[in-house]
Formats: sequence, structure tokens, C-alpha cells
Amino acid sequence: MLDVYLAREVEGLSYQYIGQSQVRSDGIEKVTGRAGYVYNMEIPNMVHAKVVRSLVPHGRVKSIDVSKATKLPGVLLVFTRDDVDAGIYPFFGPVVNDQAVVAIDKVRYVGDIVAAVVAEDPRIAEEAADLVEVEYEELPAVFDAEEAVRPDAPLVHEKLNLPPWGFSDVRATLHPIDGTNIVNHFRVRRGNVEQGFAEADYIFQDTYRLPAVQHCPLEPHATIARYESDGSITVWSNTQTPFLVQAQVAQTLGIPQSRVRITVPFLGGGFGAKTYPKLEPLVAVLALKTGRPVKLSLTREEEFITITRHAATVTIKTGVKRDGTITARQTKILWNTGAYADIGPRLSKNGGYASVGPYRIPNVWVDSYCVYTNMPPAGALRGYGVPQVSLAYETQMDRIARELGFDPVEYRLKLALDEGDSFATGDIIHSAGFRELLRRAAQAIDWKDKSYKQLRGSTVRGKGIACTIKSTITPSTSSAEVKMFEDGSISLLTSTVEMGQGSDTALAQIAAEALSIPVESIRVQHPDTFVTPYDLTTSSSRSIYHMGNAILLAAEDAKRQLRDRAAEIMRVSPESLEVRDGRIVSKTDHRYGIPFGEAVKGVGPSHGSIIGHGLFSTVGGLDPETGQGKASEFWFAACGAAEVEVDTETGKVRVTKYYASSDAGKAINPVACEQQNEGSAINGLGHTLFEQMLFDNGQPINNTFLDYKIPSFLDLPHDLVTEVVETPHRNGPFGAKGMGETAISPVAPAIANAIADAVGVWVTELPVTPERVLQALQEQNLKHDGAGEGNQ
Amino acid sequence: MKSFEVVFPERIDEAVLALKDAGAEGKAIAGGTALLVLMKNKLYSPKHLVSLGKIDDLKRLAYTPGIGLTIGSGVTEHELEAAPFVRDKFPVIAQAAHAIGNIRIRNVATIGGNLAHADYQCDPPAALIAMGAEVKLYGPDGERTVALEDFFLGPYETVLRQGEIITQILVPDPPQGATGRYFRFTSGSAADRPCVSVAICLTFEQGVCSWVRVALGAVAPTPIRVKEIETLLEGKVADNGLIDEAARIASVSCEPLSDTRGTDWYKREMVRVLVQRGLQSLINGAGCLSC
Repeated sequence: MLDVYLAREVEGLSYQYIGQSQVRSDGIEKVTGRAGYVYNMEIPNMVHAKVVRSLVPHGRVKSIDVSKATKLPGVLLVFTRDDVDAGIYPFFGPVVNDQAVVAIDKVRYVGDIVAAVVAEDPRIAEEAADLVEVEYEELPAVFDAEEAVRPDAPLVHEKLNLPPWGFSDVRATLHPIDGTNIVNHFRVRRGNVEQGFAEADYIFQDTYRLPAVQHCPLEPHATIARYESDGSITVWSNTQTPFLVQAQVAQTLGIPQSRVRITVPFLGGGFGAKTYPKLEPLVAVLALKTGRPVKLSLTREEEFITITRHAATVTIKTGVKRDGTITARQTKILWNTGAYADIGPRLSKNGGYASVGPYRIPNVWVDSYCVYTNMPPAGALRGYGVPQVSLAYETQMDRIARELGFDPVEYRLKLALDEGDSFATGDIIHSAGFRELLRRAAQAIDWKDKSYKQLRGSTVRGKGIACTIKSTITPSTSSAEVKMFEDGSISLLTSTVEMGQGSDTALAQIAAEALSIPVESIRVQHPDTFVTPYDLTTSSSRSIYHMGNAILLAAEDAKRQLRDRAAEIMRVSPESLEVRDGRIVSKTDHRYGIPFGEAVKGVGPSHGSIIGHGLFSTVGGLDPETGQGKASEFWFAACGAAEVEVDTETGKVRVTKYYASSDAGKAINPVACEQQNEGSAINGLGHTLFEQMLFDNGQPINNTFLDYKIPSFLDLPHDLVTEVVETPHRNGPFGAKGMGETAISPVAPAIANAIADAVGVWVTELPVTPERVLQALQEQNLKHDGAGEGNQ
Repeated sequence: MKSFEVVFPERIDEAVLALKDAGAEGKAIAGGTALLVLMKNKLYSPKHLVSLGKIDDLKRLAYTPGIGLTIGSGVTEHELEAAPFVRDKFPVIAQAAHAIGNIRIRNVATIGGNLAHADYQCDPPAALIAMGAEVKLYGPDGERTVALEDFFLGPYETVLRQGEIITQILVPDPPQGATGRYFRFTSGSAADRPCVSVAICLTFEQGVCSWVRVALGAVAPTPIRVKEIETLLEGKVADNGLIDEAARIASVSCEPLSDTRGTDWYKREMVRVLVQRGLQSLINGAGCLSC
């Protein structure tokens, strides 16, 4: 079936709806302020929750006194561990059930939830939350992953509560180490690294450190839950994973999944922060206990400590021959996953194998450790571990090239993985145009022109390039339904979450192409677990490929039913009919046919509707000891090129030009793809130059937008250029793979390499603050002076 | 945020009376952009707020040739940055007002609130000090006038007494032919608060400076005026050597607090660079202004 669509392009027939830039279907709704978000939503009879948070980073909860809070007029409930009865399963978490709706025995970070207050008014709830008195027995705390892996480090979790279910890819490779803070030790063992290093002429070893950063979605986390009269529960949540939340809420309350309805309107941004259960289990319990619809929405300050991007320490050792061939690579990564694992165990796996980079390397040894600490939990953020490891392998790649006297672009072109090459996991590379991306990036930045360093005054200019590889969640499943009404209009039912990435528009384009009807005649239904079919998650840049394929299957199913009904009306065989421009027509004479609506009605009383169903599922998995197997259904390839100006007197780095590109396989909505590249570039720019979450003994000190700055328009490069490369994927819908988060990973190393090009200073720690650069420049001057004296 | 009561007097004396009655639990509020952040985070929870927002007498902004600029404390930062006579005659002040936050903030934040808040990372104070501003205060004991450089006592601390409010900021006309500029360096986003700021105003003819004012922001518990530089440069030909010496003096006269925007060492370095570049650009029309 899929070949049918690819064949169309081979035959030179152009597509009608995909591959053409389409105005966002949700654009007008959003810019006129009419689009609905959970954060703004109100439900009749609704009451408000506020949580009480731990003020200590690690401690045993000795006692909780709720008497003052309970007495405040307007307070309905103060919920603590004492209210967790047999009917409630308080623990949750996507891999380890290590988080509780309220603290049961210990608190594990500043901000951990100890109790929840429900009141008629949000201000009363807040006031009551302040009146809850909690007594802690403080315990030694550990904040840094490098310290948390030491044998004498305090244990954040004494034992792991692993549920009997779980994601097959994570469970198969999960390797916690008992009696330590290591919740997962993921390994890749390929070839013989010792022999590889022995064969090398040079060994390069570097360590890179990245701090925790924040997702900063415009809309903070928000959830409303209401118990219905039939014993079911409705949850409105701004989640990226409605079905995982459904399963979790069913488990928490001990009720069947068929009685848990998760509905998801537009999200005001996700960036990974809204994957997996967050507030929903607690709010569901509060709705159960009060019998009222309960809303909990976080403040910006709370948003900062709810989920973060993993701080990481990446050590990378590479053996290189004189001709540049890499003989072996060994990496060791410590991921600071904070107090709760969230999706850290999978991220440490994916980030682990990704740390090898998109190059031909025969001998590989990876140790990737996911480590508990007394910090806010870390989870998925655009790039999913790859931005951390790509800073390491791409900056070191430039160091190797420069020290061996190779041009960094030529050197990468020589070693980059090509179609049919084998990646570190044994996956065979297909549809990842690294070479094409590199060549175009070099051209975009005018790489050959070396006159760029001549600037006046204290400012020096440099150029840098970087190239990255990323996997998608494998195995996984998406399903879709195409529902046709008797007037021929169509509803597309999927559980893909529209969080600003443009899925409503792109998925409608795919359905329009498959059904041969205009995009405008398709309405996309947002996720509702009582209505829309199953989808694993809206993340991992997976929706275009997985949901796109499910939609193609659903469309085929609907078209088959249409043809059957039309054949009955037209008294011909279904095989003699085809779908064309909103009609069922004779294959031999397109003038002879009936519109969709007529076919839906069928013969006799109207049949009312047609529902086409499609389910698309992938397979894969890695060997737990060697990390070999199938890691990913497909591979994302991206390239970034930066031109920077470094002020040598202040250390300030200004990115004057940035080029971001990614391989989409096929761009369904080209303008949206370009915008995703732009978003990735800007997002990465902040992470590279100034974003970092700062703590003092676990206490957040910059969890406001006054002190934590994301890029403003004034920070953007004068030239921000993006490009989408198309190397078709043989199994993708129209050859498409998706690309949403692809272009973020090259940003930091491209800028780091440009800084090295300009002033010879190698970045090993993010963010690249002017103070760090100035310090490095002064140390460099001291060394040079020292070397000068030595020669005399 | 904790519960509080708020009143909206329409006259200055009513506001002062309300503040006096509220005592230690009371606080004046204007635009609220600073105070509400503290209140929402429960760092400060006054029980009685006296809004100055409805007092028209505080909202006047006027320029009288030969006398100078009179800025009502309720004038917003945007009114200040946008007024043609401020931009024309007092560009240093307009530049500093423009540097604050974003347009949404500047449309509600007032200059009086900014000064009374006394956050060492605010933009306007250094610019106003360099321009020789005075503040008129009114309280239960009547009116008094204080030089702005003597107004700040420390972070979030000023000479304002219980029940006293700022009513006006007075900025005298600078000498004929004066030129000046507000220089600002951010160590993070361009929209961040300053790591270091420098306001310089001077007059010079044929390379000789006859009048010099230099004030530093964000590099001490309060904004500071560096008189030593003024003495050094006034009446002399400001050559490169003298400018470098002025920059060195600036870097040793400040007492920066190490914070998320830079360490003590780095801020001193940046003060030196900014003063050096600032003087070069004003005197020789050279140097990098795009810090």
C-alpha cells in the first residue's frame, strides 16, 4: 500500500496536499485568543487545589499538623499520607513507581509534594497550604551525580518499586545497581575497544558538563478531574501522553481503564515536560475524596521544579589513527535524574548509544548511568539526551580534526555514516543524509572563506559546524480512525496532541492526500480516551511517521468500505472503482461516479457513517548486555553551522549567523518544518549561551523569568537560516520521518566549535557565559606567556 | 500571596495619612511590577497597601528651560523613555528607562517605584545620579529634598521614613554642550537585568573635559558616583592613558556582589571595560558601543 504513494512520485505525479506549505488550521483560533487550554478552563462547581512542598532537600517526614489549615473557612480537604487508604495506590512513575501523590515516608527534593489542600477558592487553598505544619528529620543530601555515585553517598531511594508492567524497550535493558543511586546502567559493547585503543596513534579524552535547564512552556502544568455519576472519572489534562495517564489514573484509583476518560485540548507548549503522569494521579485522588471537580495548576515557580532537563557529565575517549580513522570510542555518562526517575532510565539508554555519534567506529564501549540525587526530577526535553552527548562528541570531533590538521567538514564527510552503514547498536542506517546535510551546511556558512577572522578592535569572528544523530522511540504503536459522515465530511480521530508543533495541520494533509479531498474538509479530533483510538505518545518526533502511517491504513480501510457501498449503488464491481477528488469513480471513466456522501449513505435507509481504522506498530529492542539489536525504527539526522563574534575583552559571544537543517524524509508541511528548525535553533541557543537552573543546597535560586532568561528576539542571530533535506524513508508516509526536535542537538557544539575557531578556547561546560570565556582567554594568555618565557 | 487591603487615595496628603495609619504593616504601591513579585513569593507580605495610582499630582512630567526636568514619581518608565524633551535633552535618562524589562513592564512600572524599590540591579538610578538628580520626599513631617546619590542606603534600603513617599525627581539642566550615554552590559540574554551599567555625562572642547559625571550601577549595594574619575578628567586633555586610568579607578571603586550575573572579579573587569569604552566613544567617537 505504501508503495502506491511512493510510486506516484516515481511516476512524476505530483501530490495534491502534502509537500505544500499549508496555513496552520489552528492559527486563527490561537491568535484571536479563542483556543481552549486546561490552564484557562473552568468547570461548574469546581474547587481548587494547592500543594504543600518540602522545604528540605532530603528528610523523613516525622509529623504533619493539618489542624490550622483545616479550620480555615472554605477549606474542604487537607490531604496527607494519613488519608491514603486501601483504595488508593499512591505510587506512580513511567518506569519505576518511585513517586507518590503525597510524601509517604521521605521527601527527596526541595519542592517535593507533602500534602494537598482543596478549597472553594484558589487564594484560600494557598493560604491554607501555608498553615500546614510539617516536621522533618533531615537526612544528608546529595545534589551532584558525580558525588551520588560514590560508595558513601546518601541513598535517595533505599529500594526500587518496579511495577510488573512497563515499556518493553526500557524493561529489557533496565539495569539498576542495588545499594546505589544508580537506577539504570545502560551499556553498549561492540568490537574490542582495548584492541582499538592499542591500534590508535592518538588518544583524545575530554569531559563535558551541562547543567539542568527548564522547558519553559508558555502554559504550566494543569489538571482538572471530575468524578461522574456512573463511577467513571473525567480528567482534563495538558498531557502529551493521554493513554499512559489513563493507565496510571486507573491504577491509582483501582478502577478499570474503561472508566477513565482523559481529554486533552491544545497544549500551550510541551517540549517533553508534559510526557508521563505528573499532577493527574493526585488530582484524581482529590476529586475522589471531595466529590467535587478539582483543579490544580502550577505557578511558574512550581513549573521550574516539576521537571527539568538532565544535568549531565559526559566523558569521551577516542582512539584515532594518523589518517584520521577512529579505531575506538569509549563514553561514560552520568545523568542527574533528580529525586524521581521519570523517564530517565530510557533517556540514559537512548542518550547512551547516541553518544557514539554518526560516524564509522568499529569498537565501542558505552557506560551510561542514570543517577538519583536530591534535585527536582529530570525527564524528556527536546532532543532527549542527544544535546548533552552531542556537545561532547562533536566538540571533540573538531578538536581531533584541528590537532591532526584536517578540515573539520572534510573530516566529518570522511567518517559520517552512509546509507547501509552500521551504527553503534548494529542498526543499519537508512534515510539519514549526513553527507548531504554537511555539504549544505558548509555552503550555507561559506565555510571555505577564511577571511572572516579579520575584524577590528577586540572582536574576533569564527565559524563552526556540527552534525548529530538521534533515534525515535521503538517499538511503539499508533492508531487512527477516519470517520466519514453522510454529507461527505470527515473527522480524523487520533490521540496525537497538538502542542504547537502543527500536528493538526500535517495529519490532516496526510489524510487529505490519502482520501483525495481538500484539507479543509477534514476536522481533527483532539485526544479523548473515550473517543479517539490508542497512541503511545506525542513525543520523540514520532507522530508524522507512526500516526501518518496509521492514517494511511485507516484511509485505505475507509476507501474500501466506500467502494463497496458505491459498487452496490452503481451496480458495478468494487474493483472497477477508485477514489478521486472527493468522489468514487470508475477507473476507466472518471466522469462516471458518485460523491463520498452518497456512498456513505449506501442503498436503502442511510447507513450514516463509515469508520476506517488503521493501526501501525513497530518492533525492535536491544540486548541488555551489549546494547546490540534494533534501537530505532528510523534515524534523525541534523546539522548546524554557526558564525560567532567573540569579544575578547568581555568574553561575550554573539551568534551572528546560524544555519539549522534536518532530514525530514519528506516535508509534509514545509513551512512548519522550517519553523521547527527555527524553534530548535532558538531553544538550543538559550541552552548554549545562558540558560541554567541554579541551586543553593538544593534550594532553587533562579526559578522565575526575572532570573532565568530564555532567548529574546534581541538575542537571535541576524541571519537565522533553516533548511529541510529530504532523504525518503522506505516505510514512511510519502517517505516522511518527522523532525520536530532534530535540529536542537547541533546548536551547542556548532557554537562551541565556532568559538574555538575564533579564539582557540574549547568549551567544556555549558552555558558559555562571558565570564567563562574571559577566564579561559586569560588562562590561555598566561600559558602563552609562560611558553614564551620558557623559550628564552 | 497573603491577604491584604488596598486603598486608592486621590491626593498626596491622603496617601501619606493612610501610610502613617498603617504603620509598619503598610506599603505604598505604584505600578506593582516589583512589589507584587515579592508578595506572590511571600518574601514580603504587607497587610495594607496604599496605591499611588490615582494621584494625578504624581503623574506630571515637565521640562522648563534653565531649570530642568521635573518627573512626577508616578510617571511610567515608558512615558519617560518616550517624551521628546527627555530623549532630546536628557538622553541618558531615556536610554536607562528604555533598558528596563519589556514594553509591558515599562507601561506600568513607575520611576518613583523603581527608586523606592532600591534594587541594585535597576537601570535608572545610575543614569539619574550621573545627571545630578534630586528627589523630593513628602511625609508626616512635611517635605524634604535629598540628592539621589544620598537616597540609597543598601539593597532595598533607602532614606525614606515611615509614611514618606517620593513625589518628584528633579534633574537640573546639564551644562551647555553636554553629551552622555547609558552603557549597559548583560552577561545573559539581552533582555536580562544588567551585570554592570555605567552612566557617563561630560562636556569637552578640543579634547579637554570641563565637566564629567560618572555613575556605576549593579556593582555595589547601591548605585555609586565615582567622583575620583570626575576630578581626574576635569580640565585635562583626555588621552588614552588618562582614560585607562579612569577605567582602572572605576574598577577599584566599586564593591560588586557575586551573584547569578557574575562574580566580583568579573564585574570589576566589566566596569573597567565599560568605562574605558564609554569614555573613548564619547570623547573620541570610537570604541565598541554594542556591549
